[in-house]
Amino acid sequence: MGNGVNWWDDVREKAGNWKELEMPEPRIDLDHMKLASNKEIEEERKNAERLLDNLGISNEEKNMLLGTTIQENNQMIYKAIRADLEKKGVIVEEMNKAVKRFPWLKEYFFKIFPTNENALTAYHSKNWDNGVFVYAGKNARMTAPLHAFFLLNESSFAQTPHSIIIADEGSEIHIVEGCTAPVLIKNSLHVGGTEIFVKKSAKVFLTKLQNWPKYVHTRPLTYARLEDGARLNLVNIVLGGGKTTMEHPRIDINGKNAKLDVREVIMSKDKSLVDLGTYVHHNAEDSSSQIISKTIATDNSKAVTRGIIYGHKRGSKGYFSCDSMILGENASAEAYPGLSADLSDLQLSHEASFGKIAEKEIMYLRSRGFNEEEAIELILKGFVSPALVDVPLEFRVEVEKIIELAAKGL
Amino acid sequence: MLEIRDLHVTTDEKEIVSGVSLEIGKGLYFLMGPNGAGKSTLARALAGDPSLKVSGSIAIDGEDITSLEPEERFKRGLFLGYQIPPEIKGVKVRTFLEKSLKKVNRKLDLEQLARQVGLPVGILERDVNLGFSGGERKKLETMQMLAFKPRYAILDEPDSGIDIDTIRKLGEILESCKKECGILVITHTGNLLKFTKPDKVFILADGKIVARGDHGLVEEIEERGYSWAME
Repeated sequence: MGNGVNWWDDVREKAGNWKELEMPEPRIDLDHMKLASNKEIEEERKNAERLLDNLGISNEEKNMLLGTTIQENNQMIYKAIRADLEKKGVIVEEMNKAVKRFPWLKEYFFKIFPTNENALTAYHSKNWDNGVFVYAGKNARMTAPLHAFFLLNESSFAQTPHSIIIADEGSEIHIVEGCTAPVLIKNSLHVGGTEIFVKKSAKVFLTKLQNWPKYVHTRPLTYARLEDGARLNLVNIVLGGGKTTMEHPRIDINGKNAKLDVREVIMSKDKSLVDLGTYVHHNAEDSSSQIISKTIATDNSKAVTRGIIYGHKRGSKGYFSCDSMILGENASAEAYPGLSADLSDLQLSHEASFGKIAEKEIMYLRSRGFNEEEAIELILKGFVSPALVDVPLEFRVEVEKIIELAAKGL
Repeated sequence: MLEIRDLHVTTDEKEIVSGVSLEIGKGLYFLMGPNGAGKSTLARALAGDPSLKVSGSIAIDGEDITSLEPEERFKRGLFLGYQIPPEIKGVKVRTFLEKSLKKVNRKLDLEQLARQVGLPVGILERDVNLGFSGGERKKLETMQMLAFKPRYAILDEPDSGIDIDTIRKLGEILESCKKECGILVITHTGNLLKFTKPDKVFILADGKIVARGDHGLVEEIEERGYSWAME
């Protein structure tokens, strides 16, 4: 198909003209996305430095995150780690190389990604460049979290990376994507695509940490498919930042007894808009899903949580909860936890709550020796904690620290 | 001595406590009164609840604490046991207690303390007050009084809604604590009298202290009601 010599370029041919396709709200002008100015990047660098100092991150790691050092040595180490992983049946590779190394990848590449669904998917399909490829072979088990960001640093800075995660039958893999500190990318647009395949009885634990520079519009496009008895635990943590962040993953549960667990934490700040929602389709009997979303909206930001759990098959079980805490006079939040059922023999439920921090709780903690700031910190940490249970400890500590900083108004 | 002088407490433009003066030394004190008399508001004012407007003075062992923040009062040895303590989601009882004990430089065997008040040890791993029964909430408050060893404790209805075994245990705890600290128990009934006797009893009605006496006054109230005391 197409006239491309390489199969991985076929999708570029298939992609329609994004100008003629629908642009999901909030709209962005894909044709006029500028590079960030030096001033913007400098300002963000200062913010990032301050954050990293507050997080107590080592100078070495700090320089790497801020892109001020070229890490030849690190790259050697990461190469060795990747070679070692391959011996254990886990492949971690840059997508640009992976398509060349593994012809069989063609069976997965853009297979559950709907190229012409809207302007963003078409733009991504046309322009995809690099990304991360992770493959866990049959029965391979990697329970220590794999830090894709560090292993394949260069690919994380791409504007339109396309990533694929495949967990083959019986395998188990834990992946951490992104980091708590803002990555100083130059582009003001990030439209990454991710396809996740969880095969029979496989387990995938994916933790995504996103903290974008103020000048970035980001539209991660995420799709996943679960087979019989598969399990996908997805933790998505959006820590402030970004001009607009919109992510609406679509997850198809196509296998019996498959289980999906989604946890979301949104911390919106400054003037950012964060719009996060998961769309789950129960296409198989006796499958279950749970979405737990915790939002803290601060400053002048707006946070929206939405999504729909579709029960298409008998015995589907779904639970959707959205809790939002609004801090600051000008912050706002919206929640639309949706349910949709095609038949009666299933169990779907949802709940949503909004509020500010209860004065009673603050007073209670103060009468036990906490000052007001400490009381608010403790309450906020408690508020998000149900969404952080699966997050690897070192990140959990950093996320909690960022929440503490938010409580202090930093 | 916990000295309260001419305390007035206003909330939502309404005066709830109108000139209360009390002195609490070591020992056990009961504060009784009809519903809406202002007992809980008085307790919250003593703890420093910032939503209340207060005039008059409160002093602990000679130090005026009227304008101190709640956390500072706590650090000076003033403890409030809540009538209905709030739920704090996602915060484990153990985390909460360990952190607050640090504020007063104490470290304790929390398991042992839980057993002492009749709470299952597993409660330490649960969220603070979340899904607790009424009795469990009261016991957690009592447990905190034991943990913090305050100089003065105000317990807001520690005996309401709990079973007789728990009342007995509470009575025994008060009986042993009153030797070392001043405890003001806000109560509606004389249920505790079987297990411990107050040194002094105050009756609060309409925001004022209308009667003072010893434990005999409790029995008198139980028989004749508050309207008698108000006359």
